[in-house]
Amino acid sequence: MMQLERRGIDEYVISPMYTASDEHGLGLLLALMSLALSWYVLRQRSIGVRTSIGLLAATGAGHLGLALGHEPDARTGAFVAFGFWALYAARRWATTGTRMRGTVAGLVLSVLAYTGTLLSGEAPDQAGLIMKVLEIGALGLILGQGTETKTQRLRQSATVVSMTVVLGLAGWIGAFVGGGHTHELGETPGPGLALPRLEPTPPTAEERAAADRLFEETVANIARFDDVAVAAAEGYDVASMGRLGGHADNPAYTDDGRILDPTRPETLVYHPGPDGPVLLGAMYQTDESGEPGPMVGGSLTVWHGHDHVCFGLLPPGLGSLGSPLGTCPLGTVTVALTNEMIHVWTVDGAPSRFGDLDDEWLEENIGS
Amino acid sequence: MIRYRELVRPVLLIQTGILALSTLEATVVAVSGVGSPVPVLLTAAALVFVGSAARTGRLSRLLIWTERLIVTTFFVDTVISLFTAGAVLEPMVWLSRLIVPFFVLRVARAERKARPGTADEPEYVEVAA
Repeated sequence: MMQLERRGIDEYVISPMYTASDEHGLGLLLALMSLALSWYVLRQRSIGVRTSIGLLAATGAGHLGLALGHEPDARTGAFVAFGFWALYAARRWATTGTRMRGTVAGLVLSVLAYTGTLLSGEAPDQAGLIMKVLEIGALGLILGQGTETKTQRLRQSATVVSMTVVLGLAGWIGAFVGGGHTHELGETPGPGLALPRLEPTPPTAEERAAADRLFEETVANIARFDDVAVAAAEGYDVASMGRLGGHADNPAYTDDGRILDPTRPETLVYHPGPDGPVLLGAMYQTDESGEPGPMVGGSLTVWHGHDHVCFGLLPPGLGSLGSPLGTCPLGTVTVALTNEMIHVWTVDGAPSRFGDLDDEWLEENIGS
Repeated sequence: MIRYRELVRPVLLIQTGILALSTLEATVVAVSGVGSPVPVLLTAAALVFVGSAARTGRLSRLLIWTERLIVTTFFVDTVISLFTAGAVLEPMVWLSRLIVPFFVLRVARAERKARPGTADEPEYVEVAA
């Protein structure tokens, strides 16, 4: 298999939650143009009305643009219907000066319909998310117009804040349910998992033999680390395992220029068992972000990276994954793409030798 | 009335929702044992400042520093990303971490300029009772 010198993030398949696909580009462009055009045409109106109409027009035009990027089906029909409705509502408001009845209900329904789609297990994407945030913004403005009573303000606050949070939560659910976790080429990964953008091909006999060799050499070389004290004595940072999901790094082996060396695996992976940590296997890492790992076993030994990792600085550790709504917690920086890595599972009875280890199997056989 | 002042409350309400979600995410990670409580506390503090500004309409100094921190982190992340992974174009990131805080900072600056006698904490006109 051809190896590249260095991969950028666009050479990985990542969760759709963090991307705007090409076929959605037209929708985003039309939304932006409609917003700008409305702002220019309605420059004599108040800022609030001008922006509300602009956002309505933007989501309307955006939905029509999104429909053009989809195969004709019921959903595309809904996009078209909503797009025309939103454009009509914007035009009528702009020309008559009065907001059409049902505008608030229409916007709420649109956000709820998208949320329902996500909850049913469809991964969100950036175009869909931003379109819904624009609609929530329009709702906030409309509900805020002429509202001076406490009740009206409360309704505005509750609607905007709760819809934003629910949209984000539904985004997470859709992304995790709709994404795969097997680390196999060709799957749509869940949030935070980056797989090389390569065609899955059946492994050759040589690749199968190389994968077997890697597994056996790893088993032979790390067996002594069943005892955590031995791992600690050889430089593995077992004290940090808790913070890193059972991963104990050896600083002397990271960035040492030796990749996929079974005598020097960069990381050992443990899982808490009833009688202490149980050695699950080893994890090999490349030295730099985007550096392709050697797929000695072809599609049997697929390396992966992690993307959109919010890395906490005080103390160093995971803060979160990038949110569907575009943020990382404060006090963290976003690591767009980590080094590539591959796990080799050496624990007895493991259902897979490489890639992901099934959580249910872990709980049933090792403990929680 | 400062131009764009009318938009500040809805924008801050959306930002409140975004930060509430972010606080929840950081809490889940911290509680699961792989994360630290520091990001939870910092994000929760930002949530309080932004939520309070959305409620009262007052663009406090703490809010302004929060927005500055969000924008600064955006630029740091963008530079790191350019050097490690290439350009990442995510509309929600641009909206949440650049456009929204930049907009709030712009309005706050306009308010300061409009009241030169009270440079840091001008007497704000409440949006509503």
